[in-house]
Amino acid sequence: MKRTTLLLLLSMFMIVLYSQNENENSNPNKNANKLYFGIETGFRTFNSLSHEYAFIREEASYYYGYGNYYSKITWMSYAPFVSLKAEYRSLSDKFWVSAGVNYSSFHSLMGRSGNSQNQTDYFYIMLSQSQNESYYYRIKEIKETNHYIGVPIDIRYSPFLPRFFRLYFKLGFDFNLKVAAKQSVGFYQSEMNKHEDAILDLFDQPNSFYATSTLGVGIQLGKQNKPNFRIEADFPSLVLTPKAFGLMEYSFGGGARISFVLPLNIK
Amino acid sequence: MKKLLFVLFIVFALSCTKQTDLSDSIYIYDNEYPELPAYSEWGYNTFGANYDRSVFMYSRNEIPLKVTLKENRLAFIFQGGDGNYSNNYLALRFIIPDSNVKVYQDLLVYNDSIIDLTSETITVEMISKGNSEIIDILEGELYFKRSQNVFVDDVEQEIILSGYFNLKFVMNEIPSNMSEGRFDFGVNNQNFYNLK
Repeated sequence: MKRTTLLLLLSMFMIVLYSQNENENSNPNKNANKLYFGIETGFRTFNSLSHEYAFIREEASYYYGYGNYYSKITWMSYAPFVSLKAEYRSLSDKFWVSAGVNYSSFHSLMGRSGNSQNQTDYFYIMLSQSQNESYYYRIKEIKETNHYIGVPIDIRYSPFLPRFFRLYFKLGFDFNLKVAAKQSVGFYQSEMNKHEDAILDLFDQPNSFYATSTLGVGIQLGKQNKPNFRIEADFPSLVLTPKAFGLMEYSFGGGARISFVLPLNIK
Repeated sequence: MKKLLFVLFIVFALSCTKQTDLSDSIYIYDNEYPELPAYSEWGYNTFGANYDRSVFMYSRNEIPLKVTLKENRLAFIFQGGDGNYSNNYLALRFIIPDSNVKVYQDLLVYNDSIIDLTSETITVEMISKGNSEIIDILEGELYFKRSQNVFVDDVEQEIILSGYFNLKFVMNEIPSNMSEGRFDFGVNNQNFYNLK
């Protein structure tokens, strides 16, 4: 039984290979360019999860009906990037594999935005405490900006034969090394800026490396062997490295990107 | 349509929220006793205790603690309600002889101190529906676990009193029990009254 199954699978594999070979031979574009060069830019944003910071005073401003609802500090993130990539196309121009170099910056912001006139737009952080004294500071926002140089690796697959308008799917990874980082505190009273370093010392520092994996879908405009333009949506982007960022934790997100690709040997 | 109305109600409710500041009450529920606020030392202006089969809790309509000083007698008035989310006003007034406290900052001396409520020098009153009645304490204590001075942006702002309380008492010949009581109050000139 096992042998029969194995033979059946082997036969199917041979048929697929043969059919593929036939397709490539019958493809009028079999001499299509296989190497492309592209520039890509876009942004991603991630859902933000606060670390458990015991030194941030809780807030509960929402009350209606019969319950209390904690007001949350607002957490925001966005990560613009630009990449230069080389791309290799194979298997009847259906698989596109690309790699290159990537610059990205990762911006994180935590703050409290008052959504009405009688809400405060700050939160309290306890900087120090002794048995009989505690020191709170009113904070409007805390920012973290990290800069990375990375290597993106993408595999794109289009189930359609070359045409001007092509839908494709993507699986991508990127590996990013931190080259610079900056955190800053926006105090409610600017006179308190003298405590900025002490406040920042309370927070975790970002690690030097983070990686993500991304699924995406996009459309490519342009003829084969000609410059192509792509617009692509990323979702989900999964952060593969826990505790990579200082202010907060990210798990998944999404984004959008556009790219311009040129065949390296135009025929 | 119902969903839309619900969403509009939420949006409206959120737009009517109170200002959140040190004087507001912030309810962080207790994992073990979810109907009571968790013990805290942040000045969340809450208190709560199991009261027989109900709870004695701070309420949104009342300032949860008022401190009065009159003729060397210091009174801590816990104001709230009988039962969660009820409008049944209920307050406990703990009257303690004290000749040292003159201003609210002097409350720091209560750090880590236990008041034995059965002491003859201590009076406990229960106030409800406008009636005030001295209750007979069978056993109980008011424990100021921590008293701390809070500075906001380097300016002294208030005293935070945090601790626990419990008492068994008799009122109108009916014994009752308050247990697992906890409090976390901010005290400053807004709720400290020198009655002279």
